[in-house]
Amino acid sequence: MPEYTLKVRRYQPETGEGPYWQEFKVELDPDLSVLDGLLKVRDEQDGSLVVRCSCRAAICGSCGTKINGQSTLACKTQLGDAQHGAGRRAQDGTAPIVVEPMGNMPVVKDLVTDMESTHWEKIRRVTPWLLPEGDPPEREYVVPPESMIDVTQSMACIQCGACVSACLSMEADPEFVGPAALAKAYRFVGDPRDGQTRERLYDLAQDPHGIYDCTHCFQCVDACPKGVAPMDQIMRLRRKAGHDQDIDDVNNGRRHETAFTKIIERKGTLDESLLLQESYAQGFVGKLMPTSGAIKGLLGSLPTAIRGLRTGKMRSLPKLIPGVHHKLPGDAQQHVKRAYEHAEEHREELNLYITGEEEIEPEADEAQEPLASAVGGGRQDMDKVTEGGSEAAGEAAPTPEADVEPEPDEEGDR
Amino acid sequence: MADLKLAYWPGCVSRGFTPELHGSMALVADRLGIELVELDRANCCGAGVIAEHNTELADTLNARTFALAQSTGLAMMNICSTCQGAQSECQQRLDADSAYRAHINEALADEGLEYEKGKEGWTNKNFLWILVEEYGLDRLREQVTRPLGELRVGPFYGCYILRPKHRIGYEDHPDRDLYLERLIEALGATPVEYDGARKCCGFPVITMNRETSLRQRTRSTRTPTAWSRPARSAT
Amino acid sequence: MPKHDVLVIGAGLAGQRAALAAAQEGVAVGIVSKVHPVRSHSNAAQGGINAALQEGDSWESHAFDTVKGSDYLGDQDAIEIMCREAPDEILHLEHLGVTFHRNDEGRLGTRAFGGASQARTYYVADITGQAIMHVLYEQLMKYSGQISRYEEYFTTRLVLDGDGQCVGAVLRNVADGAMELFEAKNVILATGGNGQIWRPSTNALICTGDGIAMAYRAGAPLMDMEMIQYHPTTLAKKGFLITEGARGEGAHLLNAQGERFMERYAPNKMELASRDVVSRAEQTEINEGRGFDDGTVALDITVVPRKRIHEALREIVLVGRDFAGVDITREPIHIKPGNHYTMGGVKTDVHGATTVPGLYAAGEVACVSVHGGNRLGANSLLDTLIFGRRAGEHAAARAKQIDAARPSEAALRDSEREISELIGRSHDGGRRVSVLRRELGETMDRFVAVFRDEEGIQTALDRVKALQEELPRAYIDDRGTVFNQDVLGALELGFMLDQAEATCVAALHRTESRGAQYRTDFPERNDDEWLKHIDLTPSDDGTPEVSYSPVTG
Repeated sequence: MPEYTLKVRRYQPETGEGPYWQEFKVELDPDLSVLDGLLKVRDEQDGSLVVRCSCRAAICGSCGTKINGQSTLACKTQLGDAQHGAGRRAQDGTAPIVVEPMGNMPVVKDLVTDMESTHWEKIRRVTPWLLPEGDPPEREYVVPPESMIDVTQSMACIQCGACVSACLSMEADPEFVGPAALAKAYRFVGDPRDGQTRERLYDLAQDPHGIYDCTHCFQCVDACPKGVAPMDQIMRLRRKAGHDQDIDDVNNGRRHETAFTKIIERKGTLDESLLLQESYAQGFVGKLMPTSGAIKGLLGSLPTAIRGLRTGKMRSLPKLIPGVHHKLPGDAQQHVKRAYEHAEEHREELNLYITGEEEIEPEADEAQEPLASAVGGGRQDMDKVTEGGSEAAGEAAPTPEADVEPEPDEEGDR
Repeated sequence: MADLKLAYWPGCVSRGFTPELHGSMALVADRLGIELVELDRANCCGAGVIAEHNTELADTLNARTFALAQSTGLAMMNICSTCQGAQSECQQRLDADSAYRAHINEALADEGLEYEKGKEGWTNKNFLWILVEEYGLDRLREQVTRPLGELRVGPFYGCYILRPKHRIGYEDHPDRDLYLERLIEALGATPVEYDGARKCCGFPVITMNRETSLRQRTRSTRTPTAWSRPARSAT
Repeated sequence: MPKHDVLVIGAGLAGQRAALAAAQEGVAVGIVSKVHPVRSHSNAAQGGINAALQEGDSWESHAFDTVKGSDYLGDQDAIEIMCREAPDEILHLEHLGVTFHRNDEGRLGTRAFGGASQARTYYVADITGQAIMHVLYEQLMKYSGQISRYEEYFTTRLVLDGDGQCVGAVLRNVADGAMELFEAKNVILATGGNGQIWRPSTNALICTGDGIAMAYRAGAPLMDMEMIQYHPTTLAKKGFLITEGARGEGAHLLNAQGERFMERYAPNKMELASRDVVSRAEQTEINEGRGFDDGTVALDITVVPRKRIHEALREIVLVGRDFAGVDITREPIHIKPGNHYTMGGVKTDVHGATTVPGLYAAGEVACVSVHGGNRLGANSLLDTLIFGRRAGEHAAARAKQIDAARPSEAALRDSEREISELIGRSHDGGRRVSVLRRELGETMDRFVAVFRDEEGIQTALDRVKALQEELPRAYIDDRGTVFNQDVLGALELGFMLDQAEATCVAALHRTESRGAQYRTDFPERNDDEWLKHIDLTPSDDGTPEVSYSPVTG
């Protein structure tokens, strides 16, 4: 049986001492878990080593920890894999398996964190119970079968806190409602039996630390031991708030998304200057009567832009002018527009949690060699685009506004 | 000797605020004999933002780019972490369901395009992955004329090329989150380990919550003891 | 001192349902749990919950299956109540927001389960227990005005007054070690089963049967303690549960020769025969050399369509992948019978009332008895909810009729003394508590499992008694106050040893084979002599005293 070294971040509050590292050696099969290792230490070496645990099978959600820096469940991480992970980074097979308490939460003792003041507080923030409209039916609510599977993805959450521990937005903004609570919110927003869909979405869109405070880093998706994919649920909330419910949020999230989407429809690729401008102050009205947030936001980005110019990072002044950005060649933009028409007409949302993935067809060859022959098409001289700026020349617009289409609902104001 | 020939999607930012992204790659690719066929008709990957608006739209746009690449008969290369992640997300959906794929391809028919799942082992890989997995670090090492010597370089990956692991090929290539370090070493420099190498730059929320965003940026580049000498971040 | 009309101890399905039902009656409710409520072991119930709710089904049919499954040891008045009230309970849960599987029409859909004459199991993928429990916890949060939650509070003992009424409990706040006396007009035990007495077990580490032991120590009789269910499909080595839902969806059991061996044991119901039958069949295959080298047989889920696995057996795919390294959609997985469920427990009436006034019990801690000698799959969730609710309602009604009685501080002082003695105990006199716990588990799994005989049970009983004697000398390491799990482990072991003794005594006493009790030295069921329950109460010297109660027909 192989021997593993567990390097555990310990904290014994009664001693008055700060946290410290302690290494324990355990002999166990590689397919047993890091939790099995910790329990063996607790049972045989040091009974004061504390870790919450119960089911040992990734169902109860007690043993959220960081193993080699990755937020996860100790019971779901096999010793062999953890050792591989530890050695990989250190490029040294003897590196210990590092076990720490979860992040973004106060530590109570050893691997036990205070989930109440962080995780549960945030869960309660999203009004986490069903609020149906009117009296229940005599029998069950009749709902589309897929809708129940859809929200079961969020119901699969075991409240272990691994996503909260891993969340990079919360690390920067402790007030962020966070991945677990927002996944829980989707559990109700996506439930056709709930009668407060709009109110819930409005609430979370008007909270500056709500659905638009997620930085899209995928940490929660990787941390979640149950496939809840909290970030996917947050994006669903955004789609439902912005598109289905037409809610404008305090964070400018929807405006940013709309501006982005429209720019690509018009130009095929992203005009970053235009995006910045449009995200804050949309269309004509936005520019004539900018909100204080828009002014603040635009002014706030100025130092970055100026610094960029000064340091040479931003080498082309025209790049800063919204609208200068080039369009796609030939009729390509027409075809992008066609893609928009088709997709906006259908808005089909393929949910892999419901449909699953089709069998992967056997590939011709696993070898990574790319295909040998070119059939031409799209060839462009490399040198032409090596230096920034030059390719935009033919597209320069007289004024920033020239390339900006007003919002439909602003037509009357013109 | 162009033994690597790829359809190339430069992405939006390399033609916008970050021209050095394309410029440096182009010099290197040329030196290494990697021949690139630029997809100048291709469109933005949506950067995850269009998917927030309408996932079908994001999938259609990327299916179009993939189809353009496939029509060249070449595998595809990108040079942007965000492109890799956003495109892989769409590719996963497109590959998961043949009916959905057919539906998306309808939108491309006018242009004579079709995205085919797994066409002759077709892939879409970031330049970094191409360098390590296709070109090979040993070969790359041989090409180094001026080793970077004393230079200490902190890698910064970007979220989309790191996570979620199951979607972007870590099952087959588990070390993709170490490629930058290996590349830095292959070029003769010393990689610096620091907290933020695999964290978020905060950019996606810069227009939504400036404070959260900038704090993330600070945290991801914050100097731990490992930065004993000046170092620069390599994106 | 916290005061409540109804104090619920344990916050799994039975406890949460009891608390909600009592609050509904307008009384002040407290609910305590030694872990956060959502960590409770009801989580692990994967397959579903039974109810005769579909057209063409009837509660009588459900009741008949349950009686038959119990090997006729179940009390039929209680079974009738459970099966009659099941449909309304399912609808209640659906209205609260449980995301039950729907059929194509968007109505509640069912799956097949063992021992049932109809497909009447309602489910949420294979996380049914978790899905229901998290929804009940949502309700606890919603009604936090009426229900005080004490999360991570360990109950050390029940408190009786001079008249023998239960009037409260002593609790230890796990977070800081503070001991407190809780006053309650009624106490409802909902502390679950005691699978940790066996090793391995599908049960979580918290399943130490604390409530069974505390009630027993308070003088409430235990019943059917010999009836311990071994689940037919638990993961080799680690003991984790593979839901019966897998067989419900059509999975086969195969021996090492690839034979579908259930053809020889239950040619009609095959893999969906009742659990005691299937477990014995597997153990026979293994004992007679037709199993695999690791002491297992195989469960072949590959015969279930992939899409169906994706929707209905997700959790099992994860369990296979993460804990056995097996892709169950592609290859069979090795399984064996493993300790799973405590049919016996604290004897109650159909309102959950024990013989101690003011003390109730519901769920796995209790024995009503609806499961008798063998529990049918998907009847345990139902048991927790129906009798949890009934106990909550009855206790609330009782609370309205009586005045509060002050519990004496003496019990608090006793518990404090006990714990400080334990913490201060020297390391010279004995072995570690954890070592004793392991020995207990291995002993019970070896001698009081699927097949039993007098010699084995007696061996187990002797060892249990030796461990009981040794426990006062066994030591722990942690001398702190904050989150001292070592202290809790020692208290739990004390609880477990009392129950193990009761189980051995009852198993030794029942000289027949019925349900989960299979005596190789008495292989026949003996209705003339043994169609009755074995009740156990502590005698003056602390050993269990046997009496009988009739099976209600």
